[in-house]
Amino acid sequence: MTIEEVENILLAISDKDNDEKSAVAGFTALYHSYGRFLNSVVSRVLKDIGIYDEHVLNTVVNNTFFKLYQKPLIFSFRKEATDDKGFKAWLSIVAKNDLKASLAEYYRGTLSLEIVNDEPVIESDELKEEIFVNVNLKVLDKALQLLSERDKYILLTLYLYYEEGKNTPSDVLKILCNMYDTTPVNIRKIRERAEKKIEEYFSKNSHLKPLKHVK
Amino acid sequence: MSNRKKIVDLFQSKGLLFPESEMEVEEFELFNLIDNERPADWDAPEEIIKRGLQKLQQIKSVSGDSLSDEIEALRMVARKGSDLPQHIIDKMRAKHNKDDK
Repeated sequence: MTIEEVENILLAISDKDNDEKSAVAGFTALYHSYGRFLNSVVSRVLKDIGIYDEHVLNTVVNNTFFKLYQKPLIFSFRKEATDDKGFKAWLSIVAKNDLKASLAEYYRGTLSLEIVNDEPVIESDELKEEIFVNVNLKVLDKALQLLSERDKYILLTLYLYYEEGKNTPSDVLKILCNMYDTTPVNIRKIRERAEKKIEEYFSKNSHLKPLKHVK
Repeated sequence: MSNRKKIVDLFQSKGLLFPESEMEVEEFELFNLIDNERPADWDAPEEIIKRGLQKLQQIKSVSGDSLSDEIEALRMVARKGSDLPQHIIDKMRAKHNKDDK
Protein backbone atom coordinates (compact mmCIF):
# COMPACT_ATOMS: atom_id res chain seq x y z
CA MET A 1 0.00 0.00 0.00
CA THR A 2 1.07 3.58 -0.46
CA ILE A 3 1.64 5.83 2.52
CA GLU A 4 -1.51 7.76 1.64
CA GLU A 5 -3.63 4.60 1.46
CA VAL A 6 -2.44 3.44 4.88
CA GLU A 7 -3.02 6.87 6.40
CA ASN A 8 -6.53 7.11 4.98
CA ILE A 9 -7.43 3.69 6.33
CA LEU A 10 -6.04 4.48 9.77
CA LEU A 11 -8.15 7.65 9.78
CA ALA A 12 -11.22 5.66 8.75
CA ILE A 13 -10.64 3.17 11.55
CA SER A 14 -10.23 6.00 14.06
CA ASP A 15 -13.73 7.16 13.07
CA LYS A 16 -15.23 3.73 13.80
CA ASP A 17 -17.76 5.14 16.28
CA ASN A 18 -19.38 7.15 13.49
CA ASP A 19 -18.81 4.87 10.51
CA GLU A 20 -18.19 1.30 11.56
CA LYS A 21 -18.71 -0.14 8.10
CA SER A 22 -15.87 1.90 6.57
CA ALA A 23 -13.67 1.13 9.57
CA VAL A 24 -14.16 -2.62 9.21
CA ALA A 25 -13.65 -2.44 5.44
CA GLY A 26 -10.39 -0.55 5.99
CA PHE A 27 -9.29 -2.98 8.66
CA THR A 28 -9.94 -5.89 6.28
CA ALA A 29 -7.87 -4.21 3.57
CA LEU A 30 -4.96 -3.67 5.98
CA TYR A 31 -5.12 -7.26 7.16
CA HIS A 32 -5.04 -8.54 3.59
CA SER A 33 -2.09 -6.27 2.76
CA TYR A 34 0.02 -6.87 5.87
CA GLY A 35 -1.28 -10.08 7.45
CA ARG A 36 1.07 -12.31 5.48
CA PHE A 37 4.08 -10.16 6.33
CA LEU A 38 3.28 -10.18 10.04
CA ASN A 39 2.50 -13.88 9.98
CA SER A 40 5.93 -14.55 8.44
CA VAL A 41 7.75 -12.35 10.95
CA VAL A 42 6.10 -13.91 13.99
CA SER A 43 6.38 -17.42 12.57
CA ARG A 44 10.12 -16.96 11.92
CA VAL A 45 10.80 -15.63 15.41
CA LEU A 46 8.78 -18.40 17.06
CA LYS A 47 10.76 -21.02 15.14
CA ASP A 48 14.01 -19.32 16.12
CA ILE A 49 13.10 -19.51 19.79
CA GLY A 50 11.84 -23.09 19.60
CA ILE A 51 8.09 -22.53 19.69
CA TYR A 52 6.29 -24.40 16.94
CA ASP A 53 2.73 -23.72 17.88
CA GLU A 54 0.07 -22.21 15.63
CA HIS A 55 -1.95 -21.14 18.65
CA VAL A 56 0.85 -18.82 19.76
CA LEU A 57 1.30 -17.49 16.23
CA ASN A 58 -2.41 -16.85 15.76
CA THR A 59 -2.74 -15.21 19.18
CA VAL A 60 0.07 -12.73 18.55
CA VAL A 61 -1.18 -11.84 15.05
CA ASN A 62 -4.74 -11.50 16.39
CA ASN A 63 -3.67 -9.21 19.21
CA THR A 64 -1.46 -7.06 17.00
CA PHE A 65 -4.27 -6.35 14.56
CA PHE A 66 -6.79 -5.85 17.35
CA LYS A 67 -4.52 -3.23 18.94
CA LEU A 68 -4.27 -1.57 15.55
CA TYR A 69 -8.08 -1.43 15.38
CA GLN A 70 -8.32 -0.07 18.91
CA LYS A 71 -5.77 2.71 18.53
CA PRO A 72 -4.98 3.30 14.85
CA LEU A 73 -3.56 6.78 15.26
CA ILE A 74 -0.73 5.71 17.57
CA PHE A 75 1.22 5.09 14.39
CA SER A 76 2.34 7.83 12.03
CA PHE A 77 4.83 7.81 9.18
CA ARG A 78 8.11 9.69 9.39
CA LYS A 79 8.13 12.86 7.32
CA GLU A 80 10.94 11.40 5.22
CA ALA A 81 9.17 8.07 4.64
CA THR A 82 8.96 7.01 1.01
CA ASP A 83 7.13 3.71 1.38
CA ASP A 84 5.18 1.60 3.87
CA LYS A 85 8.14 -0.16 5.52
CA GLY A 86 7.80 2.04 8.60
CA PHE A 87 4.28 0.71 9.06
CA LYS A 88 5.53 -2.86 8.75
CA ALA A 89 8.25 -2.16 11.32
CA TRP A 90 5.63 -0.74 13.67
CA LEU A 91 3.42 -3.83 13.30
CA SER A 92 6.48 -5.94 14.03
CA ILE A 93 7.25 -3.98 17.21
CA VAL A 94 3.64 -4.28 18.41
CA ALA A 95 3.81 -8.03 17.77
CA LYS A 96 7.12 -8.31 19.61
CA ASN A 97 5.73 -6.53 22.66
CA ASP A 98 2.61 -8.67 22.58
CA LEU A 99 4.60 -11.90 22.37
CA LYS A 100 6.82 -10.84 25.27
CA ALA A 101 3.84 -9.84 27.41
CA SER A 102 1.85 -12.95 26.50
CA LEU A 103 4.71 -15.30 27.33
CA ALA A 104 5.34 -13.53 30.62
CA GLU A 105 1.68 -13.71 31.55
CA TYR A 106 1.43 -17.36 30.59
CA TYR A 107 4.37 -18.39 32.72
CA ARG A 108 3.86 -15.93 35.59
CA GLY A 109 3.77 -17.62 38.94
CA THR A 110 4.57 -21.05 37.64
CA LEU A 111 8.04 -21.29 39.15
CA SER A 112 9.72 -19.84 42.21
CA LEU A 113 12.90 -18.13 41.23
CA GLU A 114 16.04 -16.89 42.88
CA ILE A 115 16.55 -13.14 42.53
CA VAL A 116 19.28 -12.31 40.12
CA ASN A 117 21.03 -9.13 41.14
CA ASP A 118 23.86 -8.94 38.75
CA GLU A 119 24.77 -10.38 35.46
CA PRO A 120 28.28 -11.32 34.42
CA VAL A 121 29.71 -9.24 31.66
CA ILE A 122 31.15 -11.12 28.70
CA GLU A 123 34.79 -11.50 29.56
CA SER A 124 36.16 -11.83 26.07
CA ASP A 125 37.94 -8.96 24.38
CA GLU A 126 35.77 -6.50 22.59
CA LEU A 127 35.39 -7.45 18.94
CA LYS A 128 36.03 -4.85 16.29
CA GLU A 129 33.12 -3.27 14.46
CA GLU A 130 34.52 -4.42 11.09
CA ILE A 131 34.03 -8.04 12.10
CA PHE A 132 30.32 -7.49 12.48
CA VAL A 133 30.04 -5.43 9.33
CA ASN A 134 31.51 -8.32 7.35
CA VAL A 135 29.27 -11.02 8.80
CA ASN A 136 26.73 -12.08 6.21
CA LEU A 137 23.70 -14.28 6.70
CA LYS A 138 25.63 -17.41 5.70
CA VAL A 139 28.30 -16.82 8.34
CA LEU A 140 25.60 -16.06 10.88
CA ASP A 141 23.73 -19.28 10.08
CA LYS A 142 26.95 -21.30 10.31
CA ALA A 143 27.73 -19.77 13.69
CA LEU A 144 24.25 -20.66 14.95
CA GLN A 145 24.67 -24.22 13.71
CA LEU A 146 27.57 -24.60 16.14
CA LEU A 147 25.02 -24.42 18.94
CA SER A 148 22.71 -27.19 20.02
CA GLU A 149 19.06 -26.57 19.17
CA ARG A 150 18.29 -25.94 22.84
CA ASP A 151 21.14 -23.46 23.28
CA LYS A 152 20.10 -21.61 20.13
CA TYR A 153 16.51 -21.30 21.33
CA ILE A 154 17.63 -20.07 24.74
CA LEU A 155 20.05 -17.53 23.29
CA LEU A 156 17.52 -16.09 20.84
CA THR A 157 14.82 -15.92 23.49
CA LEU A 158 17.19 -13.96 25.72
CA TYR A 159 17.97 -11.66 22.81
CA LEU A 160 14.29 -11.11 22.21
CA TYR A 161 14.17 -9.44 25.62
CA TYR A 162 17.60 -7.82 25.46
CA GLU A 163 17.94 -4.18 26.47
CA GLU A 164 21.38 -2.69 26.65
CA GLY A 165 22.56 -1.95 30.17
CA LYS A 166 19.72 -3.86 31.79
CA ASN A 167 19.65 -7.26 33.42
CA THR A 168 17.58 -10.03 31.95
CA PRO A 169 14.09 -9.69 33.49
CA SER A 170 13.43 -12.42 36.04
CA ASP A 171 10.22 -13.28 34.18
CA VAL A 172 12.29 -14.22 31.16
CA LEU A 173 14.54 -16.49 33.17
CA LYS A 174 11.41 -17.99 34.63
CA ILE A 175 10.03 -18.64 31.16
CA LEU A 176 13.23 -20.32 30.03
CA CYS A 177 13.58 -22.36 33.20
CA ASN A 178 10.03 -23.55 32.72
CA MET A 179 10.45 -24.34 29.04
CA TYR A 180 13.74 -26.16 29.37
CA ASP A 181 13.47 -27.53 32.87
CA THR A 182 16.67 -25.91 34.07
CA THR A 183 17.94 -23.22 36.46
CA PRO A 184 18.78 -19.51 36.01
CA VAL A 185 22.44 -20.29 36.64
CA ASN A 186 22.45 -22.82 33.81
CA ILE A 187 20.66 -20.38 31.51
CA ARG A 188 23.42 -17.83 32.05
CA LYS A 189 26.12 -20.43 31.49
CA ILE A 190 24.45 -21.53 28.27
CA ARG A 191 24.34 -17.95 27.05
CA GLU A 192 27.98 -17.30 27.87
CA ARG A 193 29.06 -20.51 26.18
CA ALA A 194 26.95 -19.79 23.10
CA GLU A 195 28.18 -16.21 22.79
CA LYS A 196 31.77 -17.35 23.10
CA LYS A 197 31.30 -19.85 20.26
CA ILE A 198 29.66 -17.21 18.06
CA GLU A 199 32.35 -14.62 18.78
CA GLU A 200 35.12 -17.10 18.00
CA TYR A 201 33.44 -18.11 14.77
CA PHE A 202 32.99 -14.49 13.71
CA SER A 203 36.61 -13.72 14.51
CA LYS A 204 37.83 -16.60 12.39
CA ASN A 205 35.44 -16.24 9.50
CA SER A 206 34.61 -12.60 8.95
CA HIS A 207 37.96 -10.83 8.72
CA LEU A 208 38.53 -8.77 5.64
CA LYS A 209 41.30 -10.40 3.67
CA PRO A 210 44.06 -8.28 2.13
CA LEU A 211 43.44 -7.82 -1.58
CA LYS A 212 46.42 -9.92 -2.66
CA HIS A 213 44.90 -13.01 -1.03
CA VAL A 214 41.56 -12.66 -2.73
CA LYS A 215 41.09 -15.15 -5.55
CA MET B 1 29.32 -1.03 22.60
CA SER B 2 29.42 -4.49 24.18
CA ASN B 3 29.88 -7.63 22.10
CA ARG B 4 26.46 -8.77 23.21
CA LYS B 5 24.83 -5.61 21.88
CA LYS B 6 26.73 -6.01 18.60
CA ILE B 7 25.55 -9.61 18.24
CA VAL B 8 21.94 -8.70 19.03
CA ASP B 9 22.06 -5.83 16.51
CA LEU B 10 23.51 -8.17 13.92
CA PHE B 11 20.80 -10.78 14.49
CA GLN B 12 18.19 -8.06 14.25
CA SER B 13 19.63 -6.62 11.04
CA LYS B 14 19.55 -10.05 9.39
CA GLY B 15 15.93 -10.62 10.27
CA LEU B 16 16.43 -13.22 13.00
CA LEU B 17 14.59 -11.17 15.59
CA PHE B 18 11.61 -8.86 15.05
CA PRO B 19 12.54 -6.15 12.50
CA GLU B 20 12.13 -2.76 14.16
CA SER B 21 13.23 -0.31 11.51
CA GLU B 22 12.61 0.22 7.82
CA MET B 23 16.07 -1.09 7.03
CA GLU B 24 15.52 -4.22 9.12
CA VAL B 25 12.18 -4.81 7.38
CA GLU B 26 14.01 -4.59 4.07
CA GLU B 27 16.60 -7.13 5.25
CA PHE B 28 13.89 -9.42 6.57
CA GLU B 29 12.03 -9.35 3.27
CA LEU B 30 15.25 -9.93 1.38
CA PHE B 31 16.20 -13.08 3.28
CA ASN B 32 12.82 -14.50 4.25
CA LEU B 33 10.11 -15.63 1.93
CA ILE B 34 6.82 -14.04 2.90
CA ASP B 35 4.59 -17.03 3.47
CA ASN B 36 2.04 -17.86 0.87
CA GLU B 37 0.15 -19.47 3.69
CA ARG B 38 -2.79 -17.33 4.67
CA PRO B 39 -3.03 -16.07 8.25
CA ALA B 40 -5.75 -17.67 10.34
CA ASP B 41 -8.40 -14.98 9.85
CA TRP B 42 -7.83 -14.42 6.15
CA ASP B 43 -11.41 -15.17 5.16
CA ALA B 44 -12.96 -13.11 7.93
CA PRO B 45 -10.59 -10.52 9.44
CA GLU B 46 -13.52 -8.87 11.24
CA GLU B 47 -13.52 -11.89 13.59
CA ILE B 48 -10.42 -10.33 15.19
CA ILE B 49 -12.49 -7.28 16.14
CA LYS B 50 -15.25 -9.45 17.60
CA ARG B 51 -12.77 -11.69 19.41
CA GLY B 52 -10.70 -8.96 21.02
CA LEU B 53 -7.42 -9.55 22.85
CA GLN B 54 -6.57 -13.19 23.40
CA LYS B 55 -4.46 -14.93 26.03
CA LEU B 56 -2.15 -17.84 25.45
CA GLN B 57 -3.83 -21.05 26.50
CA GLN B 58 -0.94 -23.38 25.76
CA ILE B 59 2.60 -23.28 24.47
CA LYS B 60 4.08 -26.13 22.55
CA SER B 61 7.86 -25.88 22.47
CA VAL B 62 10.35 -28.19 20.86
CA SER B 63 12.67 -29.79 23.33
CA GLY B 64 12.49 -33.48 22.58
CA ASP B 65 15.82 -35.25 22.41
CA SER B 66 14.36 -37.69 19.93
CA LEU B 67 13.77 -34.94 17.43
CA SER B 68 17.29 -33.58 17.82
CA ASP B 69 18.65 -37.06 17.28
CA GLU B 70 16.50 -37.45 14.20
CA ILE B 71 17.75 -34.16 12.75
CA GLU B 72 21.34 -35.04 13.53
CA ALA B 73 21.00 -38.45 11.91
CA LEU B 74 19.61 -36.87 8.76
CA ARG B 75 22.40 -34.32 8.71
CA MET B 76 24.95 -37.09 8.87
CA VAL B 77 23.40 -39.57 6.48
CA ALA B 78 21.08 -37.92 4.00
CA ARG B 79 23.43 -35.13 3.07
CA LYS B 80 26.73 -36.92 3.54
CA GLY B 81 27.64 -34.67 6.40
CA SER B 82 26.62 -31.42 4.79
CA ASP B 83 24.03 -29.11 6.33
CA LEU B 84 20.37 -29.98 6.32
CA PRO B 85 18.32 -27.08 4.94
CA GLN B 86 16.48 -25.15 7.62
CA HIS B 87 13.12 -25.50 5.84
CA ILE B 88 13.36 -29.30 6.09
CA ILE B 89 14.12 -29.03 9.81
CA ASP B 90 11.15 -26.68 10.19
CA LYS B 91 8.84 -29.11 8.40
CA MET B 92 10.02 -31.95 10.63
CA ARG B 93 9.32 -29.92 13.73
CA ALA B 94 5.87 -28.93 12.54
CA LYS B 95 5.10 -32.59 11.80
CA HIS B 96 6.57 -33.63 15.13
CA ASN B 97 4.25 -31.24 16.96
CA LYS B 98 1.25 -32.24 14.91
CA ASP B 99 1.85 -35.89 15.68
CA ASP B 100 2.07 -35.08 19.38
CA LYS B 101 -1.33 -33.37 19.45
